[in-house]
Amino acid sequence: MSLVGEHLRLQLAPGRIAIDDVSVQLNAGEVLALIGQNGAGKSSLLNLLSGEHVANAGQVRLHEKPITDWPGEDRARLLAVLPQQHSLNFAFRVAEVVALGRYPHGTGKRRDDAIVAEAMALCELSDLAQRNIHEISGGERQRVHLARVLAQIWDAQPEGHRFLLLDEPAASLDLHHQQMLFQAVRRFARRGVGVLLVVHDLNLAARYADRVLLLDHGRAVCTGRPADVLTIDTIYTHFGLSVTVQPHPHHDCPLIISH
Amino acid sequence: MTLSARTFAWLLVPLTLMSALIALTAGPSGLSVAGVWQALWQPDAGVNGLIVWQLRLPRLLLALCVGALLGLCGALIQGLFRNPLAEPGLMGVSSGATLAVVATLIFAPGLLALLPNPLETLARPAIAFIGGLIATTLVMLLGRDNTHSPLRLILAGVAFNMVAAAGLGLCSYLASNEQLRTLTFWTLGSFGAATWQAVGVTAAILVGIALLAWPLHKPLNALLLGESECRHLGFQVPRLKRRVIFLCAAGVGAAVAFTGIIGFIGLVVPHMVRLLVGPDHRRVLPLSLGFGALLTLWADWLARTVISPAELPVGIVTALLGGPFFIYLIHRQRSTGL
Repeated sequence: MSLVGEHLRLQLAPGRIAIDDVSVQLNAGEVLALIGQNGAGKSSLLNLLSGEHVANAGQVRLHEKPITDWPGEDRARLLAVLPQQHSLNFAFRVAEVVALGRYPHGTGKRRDDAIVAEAMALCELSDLAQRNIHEISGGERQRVHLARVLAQIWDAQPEGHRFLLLDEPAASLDLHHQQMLFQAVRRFARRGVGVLLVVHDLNLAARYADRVLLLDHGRAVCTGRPADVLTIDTIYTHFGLSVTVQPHPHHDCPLIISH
Repeated sequence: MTLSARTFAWLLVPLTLMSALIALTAGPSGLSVAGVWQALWQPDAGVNGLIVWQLRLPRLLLALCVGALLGLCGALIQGLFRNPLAEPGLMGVSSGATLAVVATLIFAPGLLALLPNPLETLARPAIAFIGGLIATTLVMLLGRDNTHSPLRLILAGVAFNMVAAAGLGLCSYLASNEQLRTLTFWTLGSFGAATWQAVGVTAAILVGIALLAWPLHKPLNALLLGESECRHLGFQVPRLKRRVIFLCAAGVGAAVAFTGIIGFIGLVVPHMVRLLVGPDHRRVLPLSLGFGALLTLWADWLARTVISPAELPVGIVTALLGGPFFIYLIHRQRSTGL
């Protein structure tokens, strides 16, 4: 039960290869962090796994079935995607945007309303429920879309495990809400959801991910437990950064301190 | 300002009925409300019955149907382009449909006359539909853009409208005096030529389009988030686009076929509806239909009363009211989100 990409290759333009022979497996219940410099291919890989881009070579399979063979609505009940940017031009209310996440489901208004309320509570949006999406801050808007994708995969599905792909979900969040985000992510992972997230902050990756996948120039450099991947050498080689790595004083993970 | 959609809907019904009654009294031979009321129930009673049943009622109903079509298509196309400034006219639907009908009337006048009468009534919206469909497809193809910005598309629409205007100019240059009058009627828009047949055809098309458009309210809402988000929510974006374009070409084609170009209803109506009840298409689609009918009825009433006993082409009235409103919209978009 997994979301698998095998030997993926993505060419965006002649001579511009975004992803070069990358294989990745996202298992149910695990949190996998994609790390790497800007332009390393993190978003491209995420877009391949979500079916947004079609690979020039290789194949993405959701529960053993090629992602392109899934009927849209069935796939949407199992796989939710949070893109990096949002371009909502129309003055929806917060609760209405979150409710869009329930479109693939036919669970009825009462159940949908309950899930929307819970998702908003989880993302600390309950007070903003009736606010216009244009009147709130960028970070609040990011949480609205997070609540929307969480509402989309809220309940377990008979077809199999659910997956959640998040592209830089923490980018515009303050420290408190970054923690809220990752606690929500861990909570979904405990319920069997496989989460893949693109993240720039290596300490967030170290603390909350079960596994990290390091990308550099469209290639997968290495994958493994944060403590095994996030070493002084790899960070220097692939991020061009001198750091100190020491055990985290409160958690069982490495702590990366840049010089 | 917000208004519950239900209140709005309940306001629309009596308002439309009242406006309809008042609109029926307007005209060169002044009729009182009581006179109209009496004539409505006694279609065979004298001149008044004839005026109401053969002239004013078809005109009123055609205005309502066309307005409903324009309002609904405007809401659909604004949803499709995720831009509240989009309008069937801007996308070339109206001019493509008009050009097709006018060119047929000028260059192949015998073609329509060959058909037996009921078919002739149907042929016009069919030609307008084909013209509108070709126009929108062309504009969509020319305006395709990887950045998901509607700018290229709107420029493509502007370019197409120029070419269509040149085509109309050519038609008017080659037209005989008599044809020229018809052509002026098409480009300015009027409900003057309403017949019961035209009402029947337009009403049938309206019902069909409304039924086909209703299930699109969910994918259209999802599309407002963006094309990828719409697909991630399980909808098939290319199919949605094809359907909306097809429906708009058919709807605007039917509207144009009997009344010529009536601009700005498709722009103004969905916009005002959204201001009142928010952007959810579950509410915007049906209310744009209803409000489009009401606003067009008012526009036609104005067109008939402003310089009474003569009348203005209704397209001039809507353009006069809609133009400034469009500028207001652009100004507003700069300051707040829509």
